[in-house]
Amino acid sequence: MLTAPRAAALAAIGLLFVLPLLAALPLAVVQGASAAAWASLFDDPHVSQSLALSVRSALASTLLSFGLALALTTALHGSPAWLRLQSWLSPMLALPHAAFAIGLAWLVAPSGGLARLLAPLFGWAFPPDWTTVNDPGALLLTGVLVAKELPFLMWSVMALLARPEVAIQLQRQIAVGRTLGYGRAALWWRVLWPQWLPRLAWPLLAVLAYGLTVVDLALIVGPASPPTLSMLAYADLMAGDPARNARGSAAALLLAAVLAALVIALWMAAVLFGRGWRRLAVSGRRRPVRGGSPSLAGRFFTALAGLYVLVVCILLALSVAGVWTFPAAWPQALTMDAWRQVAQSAGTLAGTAALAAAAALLALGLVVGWFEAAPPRWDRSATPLVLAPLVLPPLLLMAGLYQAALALRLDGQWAGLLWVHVLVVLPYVFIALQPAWRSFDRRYEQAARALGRSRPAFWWQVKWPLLAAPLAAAAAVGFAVSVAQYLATQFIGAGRHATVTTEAVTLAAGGQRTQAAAFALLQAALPLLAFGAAAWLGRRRLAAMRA
Amino acid sequence: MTLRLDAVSITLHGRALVPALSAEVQPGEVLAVMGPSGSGKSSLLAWLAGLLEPPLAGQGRLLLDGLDVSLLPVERRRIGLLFQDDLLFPHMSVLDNLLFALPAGASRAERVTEAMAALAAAGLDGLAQRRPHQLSGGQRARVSLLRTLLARPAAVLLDEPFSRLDATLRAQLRDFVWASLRERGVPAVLVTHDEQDVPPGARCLRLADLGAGRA
Amino acid sequence: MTSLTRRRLLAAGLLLPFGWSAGQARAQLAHQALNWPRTLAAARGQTVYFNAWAGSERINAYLQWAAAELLRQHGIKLEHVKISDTAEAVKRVRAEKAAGRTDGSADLLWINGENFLAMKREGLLFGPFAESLPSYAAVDTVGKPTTRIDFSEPVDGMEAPWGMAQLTFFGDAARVGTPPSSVAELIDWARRNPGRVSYPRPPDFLGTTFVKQVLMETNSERAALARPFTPQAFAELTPPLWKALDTLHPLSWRGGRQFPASSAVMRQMLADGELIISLTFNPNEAANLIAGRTLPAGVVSWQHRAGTLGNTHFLAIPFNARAKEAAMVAADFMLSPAAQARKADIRVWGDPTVLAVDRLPAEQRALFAESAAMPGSVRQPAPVLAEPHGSWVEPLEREWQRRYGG
Repeated sequence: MLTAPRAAALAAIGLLFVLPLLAALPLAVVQGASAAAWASLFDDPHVSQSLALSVRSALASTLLSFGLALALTTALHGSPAWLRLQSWLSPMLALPHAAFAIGLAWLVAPSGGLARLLAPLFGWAFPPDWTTVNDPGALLLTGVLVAKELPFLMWSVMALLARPEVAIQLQRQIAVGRTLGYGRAALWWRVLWPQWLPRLAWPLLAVLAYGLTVVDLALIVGPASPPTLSMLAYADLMAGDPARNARGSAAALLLAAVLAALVIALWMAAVLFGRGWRRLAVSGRRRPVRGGSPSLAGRFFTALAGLYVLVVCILLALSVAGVWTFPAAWPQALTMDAWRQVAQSAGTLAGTAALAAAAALLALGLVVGWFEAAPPRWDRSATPLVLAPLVLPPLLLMAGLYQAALALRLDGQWAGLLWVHVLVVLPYVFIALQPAWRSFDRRYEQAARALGRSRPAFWWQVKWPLLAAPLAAAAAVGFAVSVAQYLATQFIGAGRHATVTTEAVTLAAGGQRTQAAAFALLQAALPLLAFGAAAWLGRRRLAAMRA
Repeated sequence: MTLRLDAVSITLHGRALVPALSAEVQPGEVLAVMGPSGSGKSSLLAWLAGLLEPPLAGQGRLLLDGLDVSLLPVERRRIGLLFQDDLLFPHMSVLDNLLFALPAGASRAERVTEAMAALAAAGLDGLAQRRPHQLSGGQRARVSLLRTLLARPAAVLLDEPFSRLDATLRAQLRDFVWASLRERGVPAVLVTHDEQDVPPGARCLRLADLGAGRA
Repeated sequence: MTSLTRRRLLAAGLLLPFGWSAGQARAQLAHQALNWPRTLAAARGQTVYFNAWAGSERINAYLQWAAAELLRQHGIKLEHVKISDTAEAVKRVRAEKAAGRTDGSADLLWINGENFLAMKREGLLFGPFAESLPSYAAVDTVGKPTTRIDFSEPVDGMEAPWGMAQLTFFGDAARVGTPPSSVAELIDWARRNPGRVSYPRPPDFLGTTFVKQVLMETNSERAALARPFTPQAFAELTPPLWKALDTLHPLSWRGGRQFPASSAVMRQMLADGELIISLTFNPNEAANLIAGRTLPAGVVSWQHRAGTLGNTHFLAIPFNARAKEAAMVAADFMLSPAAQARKADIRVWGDPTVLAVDRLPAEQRALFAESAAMPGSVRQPAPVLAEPHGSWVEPLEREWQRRYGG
């Protein structure tokens, strides 16, 4: 029934999220819809190569990281390593993509860490002729994507497996399957994953979309001649010439179309593959149970975690390195310039945190309001719309939102900036909260109502405290996403509001690696604090429930 | 196959939960283990299956036709397990669930024939392509038993398998279960708290609540 | 919004029904600006949003100094809006004009070249104002003609000159040996040191300028370059350019199959030792970086003997700036000898001044320190070559992309 408060809640959500999105899309599409734009796009002889690079790196990294996530879960679930893995995920997720790329790029560059390590062995006085960073085949880009998307997918898998109904099913089905003579690994691949893979569809889609449209990573480690299509689109959209802007919009639209095509192709492949897989699964073949896998998987994950630690160390070293010519193992001159600048930007830090906290909390409020107020049918059909900002090329979205903000005179205002950040953050908060909300036992509410409590009282006193951990985690995710925004802040903020990320990107554009490293570390610190706070809250809640 | 428990005891945090038991179950016979909740009967069953986790621990031997299987991992014991929930794999059809349990070796056509025959014998023909959620409670319970039996277990453990069903279905299912077990000559251990679940003539072990391990 | 702006908008609104065009209104405002004391008074208390590239912390630090001075001397708040590319601001102003916004997000822009061309043509700039600024009198318009002609387009006072740029090469003296002082010598040098020189990938501004430099050096008849682009002129003048590049590329970094994304990346590669020769627009950049201890002390700078391309970079005011008076005062301050001297100081920024230093009074001339003595600065400055007409840029970039972009 559509009571007044419910209607108000739904109206707020519609006004603040749905309408702007629906308004921004046509504005964005119109820009790229001119025939001249498309003609000039296909005129460029390198477009097909750029597109191929984008597709290859995105598809390879998505499939690889997905496969690794499944394999790691299969091997490590239930062992003590699984819990250790869980505690590593938050810091890995908090390190921004660009920061990781900067550190890793330095590690493998011809004048970087690895080369300097090998220099004494080979007697190199000058950097060797390696083609590692910006390699034309986008291999390093693919590698960086895998390293960054694997923790995200692991986090999604963990969120799925942590759901009560899933966790119970898991235990029971493994028990039954083992008595039927199948080993754990076989059960995962034949029984468990086929059941739950559909629920991992949205995170997978998000990963694919990111890989296809990523710009800042491609700038640091991606190919340059020709660059990926997303880079081309970005360069065109950022240029001053309107004709190039239109071409950039066309390229962004092309990427969106390619994404849709890839999704359809993958879905069809999954269906066809699934059939064959089912026949294999019930063939009755049982392989002898081996005990080797967990240690291999454990070692792989330890290596990945070690890589992250190494990257952070590299960033720390880079942030204080002045002159550091090859093949010196230590910097010849140290400088605190970068950190002094960071200290000067303390105001920016506070501003960034305030904006991120406001955006996360507002998005949280909207999402919770939606979950509580929306009828189930609306909820199901709304999911694609809510998740649309995730899969649309961000450039297109920002261009459209900017037009809308201009018309509404919100550009340059903190309110407009907050509004855009909420729009961008909301899908992530939605994904983070949905499992917890959907699996919340309805009987709690029924019991509360039977005891004569009103709905709001039930929410405040029972439901939300019980869901404190997922709420905190979702808020942390929203916080991190807001901190990492560059285009949104620059476009709609009209450059008036500097955040840590805008500082970092503009400094990186100037090529000062020292500053870029220092600001990258700063960028990482904020979300890390948020995730830490959420984890602490979750542990407190768990301890309180156990006591 | 003869199933033999030899001085089997279960401990919780090092203190005795189930005292040393010895029993022998002939093919097709049922050993009923009864006791109030908390007396450790489900833990005993878990140990027999090989699924016992710390802080619980078990000692003793479990012999199948003279072979000590208590040292083998779960997957190699060939002991079937039936829970209260049917635990049919929801994403597979009934036929696929049965095929999953059947051993490999024969061609797919032969395995399908065997599965269909089992379904027909249980009065469930026509349901092969249905998904578990499309079946009634009683039908699901019967398919679950078929699945357990088609894996050609050396013994079967039943953990209060009838407690979810209403009285009529219970009676039907009970008869079906004992008949199937007898037909295949499989020894069974049944855990229950309801006297009516015990088949006539079955050996009964009662676990008293010794108060061990309780606050 | 200040009360002043609101009042002016109200006035404009009242005048519009009487048929005043936007152009006449703009001229009205520009005419008002000539009254300097009134401008200073109006500017007091205004905030200027200065959209400027923020890729160098030295430049950012200089702007912070300038902001403090402006606040102290004129009561103006200068806010440095950090952008990574001037085009960002250009697009914003263009979008604001399309949306009919008369209150803009930018008051002052750091700009030159293509961006200026586009903004001037599309009527996105306020002005003319530059030549009415008091400090403009000291600008060296004779010795530095690029202060009045930006990429062969007359400035017409629509932007105020701020600093000079000239294509300069720099590298580690020990590894360079004798610096090559022409493109031909550069190719010879690359033959002896393969894989250690490169230039940023066009359409990066510096990369395009290098290509234009090669074009200039491989053509003795350059008159057509000063005139707008024609396909015949292109077909006549560019073959030697492509021939030279075809020779150079296999000898350059990564065999010419790849090019660094920007001058910043190149600078880092030089500092790491991967490249031996790099380029820049600021003749004092190497000296500045050595002073900041990001480049080793052995780095030297040089320019090609016959001259390298040079231009001026400017400050412009968007048509819809909210604080036009304050923006003009700020531009005037940036042109003042004190600000220009500090900017030219290698320890601060090292950006060459647009002023005619020798025509300044003695005590102001003393502010400009001798830059030639500092390590890393250019020992023998070369003449400044005028840039080709702005319309040549796009065809050159497109052809370069076609030949070498993949």
